[in-house]
Amino acid sequence: MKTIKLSLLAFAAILFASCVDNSYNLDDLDDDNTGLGDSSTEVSAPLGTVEIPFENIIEGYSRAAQQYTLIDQTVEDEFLLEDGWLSESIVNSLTDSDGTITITASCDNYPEGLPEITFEIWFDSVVFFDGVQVISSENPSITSGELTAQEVKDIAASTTLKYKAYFSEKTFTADLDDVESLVIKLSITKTGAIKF
Amino acid sequence: MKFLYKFAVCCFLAVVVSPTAFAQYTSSSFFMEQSWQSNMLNPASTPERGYVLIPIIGGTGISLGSNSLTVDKLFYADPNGGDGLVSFLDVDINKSSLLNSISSNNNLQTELSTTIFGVGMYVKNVFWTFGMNLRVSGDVNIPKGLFEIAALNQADGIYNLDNLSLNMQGYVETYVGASFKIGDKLSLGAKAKFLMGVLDMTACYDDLQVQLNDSQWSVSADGYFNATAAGLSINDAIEDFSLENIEYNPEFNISGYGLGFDFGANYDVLENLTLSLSVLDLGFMSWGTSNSVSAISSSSYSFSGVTFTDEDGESSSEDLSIDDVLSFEEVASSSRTTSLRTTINAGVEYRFLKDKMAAGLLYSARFRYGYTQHEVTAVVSGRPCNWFTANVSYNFIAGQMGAAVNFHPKWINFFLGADYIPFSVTPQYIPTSSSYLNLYAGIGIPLGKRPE
Repeated sequence: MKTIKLSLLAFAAILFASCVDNSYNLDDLDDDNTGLGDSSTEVSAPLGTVEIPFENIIEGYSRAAQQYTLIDQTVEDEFLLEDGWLSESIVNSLTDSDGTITITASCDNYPEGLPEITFEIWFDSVVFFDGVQVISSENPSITSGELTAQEVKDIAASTTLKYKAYFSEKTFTADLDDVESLVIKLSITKTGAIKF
Repeated sequence: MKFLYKFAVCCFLAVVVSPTAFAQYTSSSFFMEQSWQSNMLNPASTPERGYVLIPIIGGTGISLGSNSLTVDKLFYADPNGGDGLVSFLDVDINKSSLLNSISSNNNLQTELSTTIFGVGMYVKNVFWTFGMNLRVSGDVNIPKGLFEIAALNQADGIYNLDNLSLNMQGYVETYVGASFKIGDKLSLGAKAKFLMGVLDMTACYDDLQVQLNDSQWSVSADGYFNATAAGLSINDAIEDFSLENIEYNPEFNISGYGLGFDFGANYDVLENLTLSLSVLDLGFMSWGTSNSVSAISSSSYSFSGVTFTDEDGESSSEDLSIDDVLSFEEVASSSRTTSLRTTINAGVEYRFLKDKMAAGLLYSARFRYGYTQHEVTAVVSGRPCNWFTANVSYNFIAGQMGAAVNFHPKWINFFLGADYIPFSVTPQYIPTSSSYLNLYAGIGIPLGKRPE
């Protein structure tokens, strides 16, 4: 009886030991690269929105009746940013893995006949729109290019967002009511995987 | 978002790494009539001899299970050539194969049933049993939406995480049972159980939806948390709900009471063909308000980024953290009643070669927390001599083999059985590719034989 039991126990022990797969050693778990999505992920996260009223832009123009004429070649303004406006976790996520920050400029109800607006937008020294992209009734939204990891860190540390905006025609005609209520939205989004 | 994964990982660890994870009983022993195990699965089945079960070694086992999650689905070799493993959350791991292989609701389960003492004996033609067992059950449900967030694969950015839950229940049962025959063909058995509750905990989100798109991230949550146990400290958990913050210093104190019943019947259709039916753990637990904490979560949150609207530089901003949405707020506890995890077994056994061999088919339905687990098991039993029985089984649902042996000479009754034998395990002895694992072993001291 003892021999049978010992044989059975020995057989079970050998069988169990032989089945151990050391390639699945959970003690060797590496979680340094943990996050949501993968290198092909294109999920976007809203980081911020800058709302620019048309009247800010119109301030650079003189108005006679319905006619607007550029009087200041560099219509520009700036928004002061709060310290840490881009959270540390987002900055770390973007700089530790593939990911981009984009700005999309859009206007929901851009009037037909109004000239295109050309934008230049930058956070301190980091330029988003370099002055060649335009927004118009036919093209109501435009998107910037990608940023490097260092540029992401730079804009996170920025204290101002500056812009220049001007119509593509120095003189144009428009109804005051059409333009004064308009708002251009600059949506800042992060695209890519999300690391913890 | 990190909270959700902490919750899921905590749930996984609570079930898989729990040192008190034991099986109730093995299906492989259902047709093993010489073992007292068969009486646990069907009160109408009686062993050849009575028995005395010694504490702990009288019956102890381990059981882990999931309807779809396995180690090799969740962990991978480092795609960057490193020596270690990475989890499915690694951003360099493609999640599509994982998503294709899991269910809409992914259950993790564990059970404990260990003998405190037990006695079975024949008094005239009635087989009486009485004893005491410790029982612990745990269930975790992880909805597929949680894994879909890991992959960020939804074009509309909407992820449904309803029924993300964790439930654990522990109690001591004191039972008395009787089994007897009516005529030549019918055997009946029943057990009545008085239950003393030790632990009950449920954390569940009935409604949990996450929306991630380029204009807004939002979360809406509606859930509840109930816990009753002596020695449970969860004040920190209520302020900032996290399972990691729960402190539990077990004190053996009764926090609830209940009643349960087992019923069973065997009917010999032919001399060598028997039909069996049993219902186990039909009953309830009632938990009082002492040693109880209740909390609810009902809130929503959305984030659309910082908004700059004023050319003078003022801006409005929101905190990106969503912990406030998922945290629970304490509410007054009220007594509550919970059902036991009832099991229904239905089997048919055919004996041949002068009862030296038998083949059986067993269907089991286990009503667990939030879902029902169905199993169909085929068993072949060999009884070559009067002191040894061996069973081999195959579970059609899990797709796994099982085996059981029972040595039952006059002086000892030793049982060892497993329904799900893994062919490969991690160095931590967790199956790599199979979903279930259980093991049950016990030693009984035989008493008098069945009356002729």
